[in-house]
Formats: sequence, structure tokens, C-alpha cells
Amino acid sequence: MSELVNIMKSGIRTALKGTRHPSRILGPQSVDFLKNLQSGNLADLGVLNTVILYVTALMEAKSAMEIIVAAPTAGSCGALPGTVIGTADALDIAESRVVRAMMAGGVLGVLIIHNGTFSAEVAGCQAECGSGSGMAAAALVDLLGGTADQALAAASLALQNIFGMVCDPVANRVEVPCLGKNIMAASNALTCANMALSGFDPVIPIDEVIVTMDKVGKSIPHELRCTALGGLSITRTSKLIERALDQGATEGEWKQMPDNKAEE
Amino acid sequence: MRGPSSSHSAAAARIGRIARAIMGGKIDHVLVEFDNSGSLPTTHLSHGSDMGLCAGLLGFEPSDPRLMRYEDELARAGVKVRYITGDYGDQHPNTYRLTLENKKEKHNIVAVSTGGGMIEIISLDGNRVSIQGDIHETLVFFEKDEQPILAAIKNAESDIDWCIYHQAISFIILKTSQPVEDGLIRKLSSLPGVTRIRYIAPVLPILTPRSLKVPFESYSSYWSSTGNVIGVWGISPLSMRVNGETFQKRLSVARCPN
Repeated sequence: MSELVNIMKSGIRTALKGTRHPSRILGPQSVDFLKNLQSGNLADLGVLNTVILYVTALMEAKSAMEIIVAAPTAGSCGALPGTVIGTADALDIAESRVVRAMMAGGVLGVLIIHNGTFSAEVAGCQAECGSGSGMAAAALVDLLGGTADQALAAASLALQNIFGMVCDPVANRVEVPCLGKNIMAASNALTCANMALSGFDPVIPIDEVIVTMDKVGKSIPHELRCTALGGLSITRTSKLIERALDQGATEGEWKQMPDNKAEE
Repeated sequence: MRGPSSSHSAAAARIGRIARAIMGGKIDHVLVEFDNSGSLPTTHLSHGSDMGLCAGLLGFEPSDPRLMRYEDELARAGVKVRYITGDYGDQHPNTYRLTLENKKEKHNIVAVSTGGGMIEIISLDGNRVSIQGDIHETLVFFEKDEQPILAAIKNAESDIDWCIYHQAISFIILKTSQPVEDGLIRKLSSLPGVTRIRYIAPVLPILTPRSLKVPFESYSSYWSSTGNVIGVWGISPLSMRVNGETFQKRLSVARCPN
């Protein structure tokens, strides 16, 4: 596990130096976020700002074809590691605790996979970023010294919030809205961890939440389960970007392409 | 791993590596078929399935840097890959139907990517199989009579589980926690009727031990089995592995699908 944590940290470091890749929609936004954070231009969100930075960095590392850890998947590779490592760095928590927290997150992953799936093609984005959010919530509680009951309560709270999350990748690439959803998963995990640590009651036990989550996921229409046939995938802009990238436009260039050929 | 999607890139690379092993490393043509009702007809290029599958067919790991120039590597190796879509009634949205050919042999494989980079080969040459890449597997193709093969396996001292298949082509899959010893491989190769033997190395980083019980499948079952209040990390599968145990969702050992 500490080897996996090293891969995660290395991905964050690499991306924060600035990454580029052809056929990518987004530029190196984590670099800009860091600059603005250091210049005091952003609202003070406490540890969440470091978490946003790291989640973004991990997603950029993925899109630049750097080595990443599917945690639980590549499309959701930012939420769990970004939240745990970001919080640990912001609060100066030792790496051994980070490794342990990842294992706690892993327990949630095991519970989810026994009753469901990590595949957005089967159950929408809730299976990927949603699962990542629940795993991150449990991991955070462990990182912050909470009990097993609190970790599972945090996961229950977090998973209850992500039911119905669809998978509708823009321009058929795993970038937009995937980055935003990873950050939402991380934010959700942080808030639910604090709620659980202060004794909030999730009411529905984690086992029931996980079983229900799978049922809800499987009721999401085919068009919204990572087929690029619905949602944001079929917006005018999504089609425009897809066409531009397929014609060889590089990262950022698609913004300058004439839009009159886009499919409605 | 590298790539945009674990269920597309990493899983496809693992499926490709197993397909390569089944072909004995020699592949000239691959026909890939995707069901119209699934995710792959629209996503296999931009989500990295093509990249992963081709890299796997070339024998690369999912984290190999050569993934990025897989088209050049594929051309250099002389492997031709063609995609078509159709209506096959596939149940899983990430189903790969592969027809692999070289000058001497041809195999049909149906594989599914089940999420997070996990995979299962569900059909080989019309036989319902279960190869999940989490254990050492050895394919022994034979003409008619499996008895001499089974006798040789039973005589060997190592622990071997096996499944026998007879649809269209006959073969036995040996499932072991270590590669089958050279001595037994030589013995099997020398038996009349054995046409070829192929070793499929595991493609997952953590293997499933042969004798294994899943300690819990839900939080409540864990709780009722221990009653201990410990940090949730303490019930982690990885911490259990440290204590000499591990588990994964499915156990492929000694499970011969119908």
C-alpha cells in the first residue's frame, strides 16, 4: 500500500510541474490553482483547497498518460488519493497514517464491490466517483482518528448523496465533467467525515445504502452510462470539441476552431 | 496503470495479454467485435480500449510507457487489428469478442471488463470458462481422451485444480498457485493426443490463494463475526494479507463454470 501511495504522490508532483498531452481538452489547471492559492485570490476553504489542488493534479496526470492508481478506477483516480493526501499534507499528518487511511478506504471498496460495481458502464458515475467519495469519507475519518463506526457512518452519509450520478463524458473523453465530479466527491467526503466525527446519524446503515446504490445505478438509462450518447456528451460544444480533437487540434486549440460545423 | 479509464485501458491490456498467452505469443490478425448495446462501440478509441487491448496483445503491462505509441509498436510487430460492431446479445456493456489468428491456429475469446481494471475471460473456443488473471493457469489442448492427462496430474505431487472442456475443441485448464513444474509440462507434452500446452501468467498484481474463505461480505457480517471495536483499517483486506491472508471478490480456484 505504501508503494501505491508513492505512485499517487508522484502523480501529484509531476502534474504540479505542468503537464501537456495532445488530444486533451483541459490544460494544466492545477498549476494555475496553486498560483492563485498562493497569491491569496481564493476563498479560504481550509484543507479543501489543498484537496482541490491534489485532485486536479491527479486527474491531469491521468490525462497526460502518467502512471496512476485506479482508486477505484482511472476516471475516479483523483477523489480518494487527493482527499487523503491533501488533508494529510494540509494538517501535517504522517505518511504511515495516510497508508492506514487508504486501507480503511479500501474496506469500503471491498464492501461496495461485493454488492455492486465500479463500472460506470454498468451503474453510471456513482459507481466510480460515487464509490470514491464513500471510500474517501471512511479513509478521512480514520486519518483524523475516528472509530470504525464513525468511518462507516461517514461512508453511508457520503454514498447517500451520490445516488443517480450519471456518466456523460464531454467529447467522449474522461476529463469533463470527470474532474468536477472528482472534486465534488472529495468535498462530499470531507463534509461527511466531519459530520460523522461529530456524531451525525446516517440513519440508513452502510450495507443497505450499498445495496440500494447498486439498484439505483442500474436504473440509470443506457445513454447516461458512459456511452457518450446522452447528457453533456451530446451538447453542441461537446460535439465541436470532439470533432476538433479528432481532426488533430491540440489541447486548447479547439477553442479557436470554427463552430459552424458542429452537430446540433 | 496509464490511460484515461481503468475499465477501458487497464482491463483491455489485461485481456490482450491473456489472449496473447492463449495464442502462444504469435498473433497475425485479430478481429474485435463489440455489441451495439454496450459502451465500447462509441468509446473504444477515446477511452483507451484500443490502446490497452493492442498493448496487451503485444505483451505490455498496463503501466508500460510504450502504450502511448502503441500504433507504431503494433505495426512493427505486424499484428493487424480490426473492429466491427453487431448485435450479439452480450449481457455486459464492456464485452470483448476476439477472434485471434496466426498461420497455425485460431481461437475465439469472449472477455468482459468488470470495472476498475478487473477482467474475466468468459468463453474460450465456445466453452464457458472463467479466467480472471488472478492465478497461474495452464491450458492443455487434447484430441479426445483426457484420462492420461488426469492420471499425470494426479500423480504429480503439486496441488492442482482443473476444469475440463469439450465444446468444439477439448482442453483442460490447470489452476495453480505457482507455474506448473517443467517436469509435469514435459510429461503432459509427451502424452498421445495432447496437441499443445499454453501457460497464462496472472495479470493481476495480487493473486488469489488456492484455499480461501472470504471473511466478510458486509459490515454487519463482519461485526457479528468479531464484535471487536477496532479502527476500520484493521479490517482491510490488505492488512489481512500482511497476516498471511487475502481475499478478492470472486474466487476463481476450483470453480468450473457450466
